[in-house]
Amino acid sequence: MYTLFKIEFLKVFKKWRTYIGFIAVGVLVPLVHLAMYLEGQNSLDFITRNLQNSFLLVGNLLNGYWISYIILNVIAVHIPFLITLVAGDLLAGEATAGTYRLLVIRPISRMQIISSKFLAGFAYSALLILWLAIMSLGLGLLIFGTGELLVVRSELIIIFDKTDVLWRFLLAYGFAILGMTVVCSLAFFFSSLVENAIGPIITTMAVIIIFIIISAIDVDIFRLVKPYLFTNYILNWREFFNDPLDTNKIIKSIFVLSGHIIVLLGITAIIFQKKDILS
Amino acid sequence: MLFRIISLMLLLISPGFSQNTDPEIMLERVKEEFKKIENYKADITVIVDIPFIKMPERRATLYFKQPDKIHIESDGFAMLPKEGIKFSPISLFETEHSSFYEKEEKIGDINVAVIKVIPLNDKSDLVLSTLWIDPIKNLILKVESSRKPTGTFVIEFDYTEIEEGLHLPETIEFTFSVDPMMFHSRNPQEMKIDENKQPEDSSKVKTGKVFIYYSNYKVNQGVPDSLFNADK
Repeated sequence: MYTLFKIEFLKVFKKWRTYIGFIAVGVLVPLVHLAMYLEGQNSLDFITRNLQNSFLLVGNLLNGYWISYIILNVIAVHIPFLITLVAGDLLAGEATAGTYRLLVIRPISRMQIISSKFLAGFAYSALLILWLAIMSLGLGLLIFGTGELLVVRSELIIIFDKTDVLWRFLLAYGFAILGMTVVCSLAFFFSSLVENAIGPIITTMAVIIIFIIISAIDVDIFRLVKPYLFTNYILNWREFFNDPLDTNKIIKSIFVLSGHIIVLLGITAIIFQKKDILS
Repeated sequence: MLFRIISLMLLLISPGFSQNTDPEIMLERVKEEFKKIENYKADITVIVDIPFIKMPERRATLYFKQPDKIHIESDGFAMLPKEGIKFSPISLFETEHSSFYEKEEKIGDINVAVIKVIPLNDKSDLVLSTLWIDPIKNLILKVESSRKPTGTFVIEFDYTEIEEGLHLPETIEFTFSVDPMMFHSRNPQEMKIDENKQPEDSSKVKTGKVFIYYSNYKVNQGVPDSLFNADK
């Protein structure tokens, strides 16, 4: 199984499209750092302007933690699109390349093929989030140093002590990996249905966009649907930056997202087991 | 008749009555008392109890130099109420004002004089201040002030005697009304976070408190001006 995973992992990383996500993060995050280096204080002053009328703010809030938090807020919504580029190609790519038949006639079960391909997709998703963590948090702390983290919620300002932040980031990145694995599973599922990678990639993106729009529109009918949309739970990594932690919400989100992965992977496995390979 | 004479005698010998109730003299004495402190350095601990803010206990070092120079050094981020930390009797009475003695009250075991101060300058942010003054030690124990645009706030002082005759705050309790709009996010990205949460009634003005605890005072040992220049 390990050998199979290794082969699938190498196959993923031999395709140039795999590097699009890493390049995007590698270019965008340093740009944000540069912008924050030049303009970050103005941005922070704008956010805290109301507070400055009554309070004397001492110390530096423009630090690696705050910038990483901003980056995670802005980029996390877009990472799923980078995940679909690879996950949508995992099965359909074999069909497009005409290697499906070659693959399934080897002395390995179809379940092993599915598992190794999914694990390769998961590894890619995890590495992309890890890369984001290195570029935003690692580079951010290197350039701006540590400090207290200012989290401005709709009607609440939370200032976390610098010793109380790193574990929150680690758990938030871990949660983001889980969320991205759901996206990977969805694209993987669509990938098992067709023989061209473009379809699953675009379909997954469309599903995510539709779900995000439904979540964003505050209408009664959409409010009823919202709890059933996985996009509603993907961004709950933000709950790690709450005080006190809403553990029930976090645990519920973990269960919902894990459930999505299990169901989508199960359906994909059934489809692939019964698939009549003609290409 | 005898009762009246005894009552009058008792009133005359009571400590409150025997104090000078001229507000300007009292304010001048407070100012003179405060001027004894030329400069000081102190460690402060700040505890914030504000409905819309969650902040851990912060520690900092406060430098003060007459008349109203303040410099704060902190390892991390600290948020201090401007009115509380920068409060100075000198700056309070510097502008043209009118004052009158209102009554005598008790704060704990101390008989205090309640004095109202109304600034006469139209440009002043201060609308009205009520001061509770200890007429024996010439210390302000409590201030209730209305300012534009921050609203009404109350500062309560608890003093410690640093040296003989030198009193400085040990605790300052700063109470103020909190307008939820003050803490509304200006960051559109952050506005989306609590979208599932029912919004609180923004019209409700709540009360916030900030406690500042002073320790390790070093009084009149010199504080260089360069410290304050860096803040400008």
